[in-house]
Amino acid sequence: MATTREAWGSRIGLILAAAGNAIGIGNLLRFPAQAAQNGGGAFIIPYLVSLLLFGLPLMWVAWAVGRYGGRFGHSSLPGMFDVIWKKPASKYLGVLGLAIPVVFCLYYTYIESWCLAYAYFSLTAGYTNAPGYTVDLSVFLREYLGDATSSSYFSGVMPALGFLLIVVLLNVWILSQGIMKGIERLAKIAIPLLLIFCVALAVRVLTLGKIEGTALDGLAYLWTPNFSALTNPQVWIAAAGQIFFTLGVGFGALECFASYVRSKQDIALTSLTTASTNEFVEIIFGSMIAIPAAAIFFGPGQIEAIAGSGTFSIGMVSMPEILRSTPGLPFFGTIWFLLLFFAAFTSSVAIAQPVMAFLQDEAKLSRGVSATILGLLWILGSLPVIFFYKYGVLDEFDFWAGTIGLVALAIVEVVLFSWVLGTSKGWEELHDGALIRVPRLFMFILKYITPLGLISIFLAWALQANLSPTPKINWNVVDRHLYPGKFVTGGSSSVQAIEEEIRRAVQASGRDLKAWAGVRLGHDGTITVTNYAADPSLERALTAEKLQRWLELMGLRYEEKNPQGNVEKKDVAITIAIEALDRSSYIWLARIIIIGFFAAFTAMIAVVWRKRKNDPEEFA
Amino acid sequence: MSAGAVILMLATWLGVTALTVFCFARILKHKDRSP
Repeated sequence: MATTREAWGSRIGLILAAAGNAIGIGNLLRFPAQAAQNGGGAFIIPYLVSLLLFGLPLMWVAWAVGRYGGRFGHSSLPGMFDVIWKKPASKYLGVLGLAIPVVFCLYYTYIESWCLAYAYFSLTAGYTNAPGYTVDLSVFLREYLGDATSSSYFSGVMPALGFLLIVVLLNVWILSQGIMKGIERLAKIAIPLLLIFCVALAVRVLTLGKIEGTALDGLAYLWTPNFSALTNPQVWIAAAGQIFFTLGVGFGALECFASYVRSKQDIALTSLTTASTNEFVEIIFGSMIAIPAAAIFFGPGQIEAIAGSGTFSIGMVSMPEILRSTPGLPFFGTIWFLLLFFAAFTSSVAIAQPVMAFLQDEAKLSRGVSATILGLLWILGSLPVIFFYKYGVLDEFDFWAGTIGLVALAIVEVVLFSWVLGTSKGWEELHDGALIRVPRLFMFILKYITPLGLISIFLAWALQANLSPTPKINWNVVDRHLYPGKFVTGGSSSVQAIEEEIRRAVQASGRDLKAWAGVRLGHDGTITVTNYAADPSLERALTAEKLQRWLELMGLRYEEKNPQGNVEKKDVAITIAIEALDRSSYIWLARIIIIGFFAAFTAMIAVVWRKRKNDPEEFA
Repeated sequence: MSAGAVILMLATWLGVTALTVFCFARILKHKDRSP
């Protein structure tokens, strides 16, 4: 029951699909945040150096490995590695190209579903303030994700689950249509739409004029070079990491796409076009939208704090805050989130395709059965990400699959290409039918510089691993939506001592601990805890007095704008809910799921290759 | 915005645009557009 291999319909379709794999949320949010935090304009220097030393070489390796494997009928890494390195163990190295994309998809599609959900909320004015009802977008996001101790806007994660199911089913449906009618057709619609959305938003942001600042302030912040940052190795690691993430190498998706390209057809220029399209979106639109918008609404003085607040905070908190303050929220808010959604959607289908290809080409399952198996794994594996989000399951998946795993796979691949297949043979493969000649200097780069650079990034990231997770402390103002102003914290390192005591109490009890307090915030900055109740295991670590001290050290206050537009501190009586979470069992659950996927795919590879040996005709 | 920042920004934007246009032009110029 041999199945027919997939094929691309056109070269432009292939380029758009590969560009769709590369263009993701990171282009529009991670790039500007990284640049703003790492030397502004000077960041572009290590960024472009990394593009030349890691990005483009890894692109070419991925395409060459992919087409080389495709010659032998393989569309996923186990088969490709098997034909490059003819050793029994080589196919098992390819498990990285199956387990990593699956684990990545488990959490990436959840993020993708936030974008779709927020597009819906934007369209239906779901986060618009109303008289007597305020939407704090930071709390709104945390409640949507089930990561808050309050329930002002969402009482559970069922909406998040609903949107995730829609997104997973959309992904599986596209994959079930095959390469040409599914991924290629999606890319031909989504990528032009994405570019139109980018232009619309950039024009909107650049024509907003001055509020707290101007768009030029944002561009100046992003592009004014701080050359002293170039002496900081962290800046170089951050730039290399950004290049690595943005090009979508390290998933096995590009190899899979290239495997469907015929002999004597170009892959050298096709891969360069993919990379340049991605860079076009990242460097131009990545710097034109989020940071200039933040400068306009929050002022240039706030950019550093916003950039440092993280990718999701910029996309899901700052940007909606800005967009709801401009006329036309339903239009521009929806466009912003649809832009992020399409960017993520074209990436997730591409990243999942190697697994589909493995099930179809190696396990000889039909497309429908393969899509069903993948869909079930996807939905079941995503459930812990949703229900245990607040315990850090998403971050754990991201660290092992989306950070460490990607670099590990890239190291294996570049070593196999340069040192096992050999750069000469690899070069021949890359240039078979090529429309451009890649300078021979890259042969040297591929053999020595790219592997060494990747190993440096791997070590730098692996050293950040925190194998024993610490308890996490959450707290919220329960009746937040009733206050039109802002609850502000000043931040003080002295709070760490009290928080450390809370964490020790959690570790000693081995479970989640909760507390509630009535608190009065004075216009003069005074804080009074009026009533207090806590889990007995928490009472000693967090007494009412310590809670009061903790809030004072945080500098918690309530600010509201008066009719003249000036910010004033006000007296309020609020209820605060606190929870200290014992994360260890959930983190280990995440690790067991990752190990489970590795074990399951390793077993599948063993079974497939045994069958192949016993029945070579069927697998010919 | 300083002159240095403007030059750096425009040079990078123009560079990446030129590369993308060049790549697509070469692809489209080629008669065989099958993958």
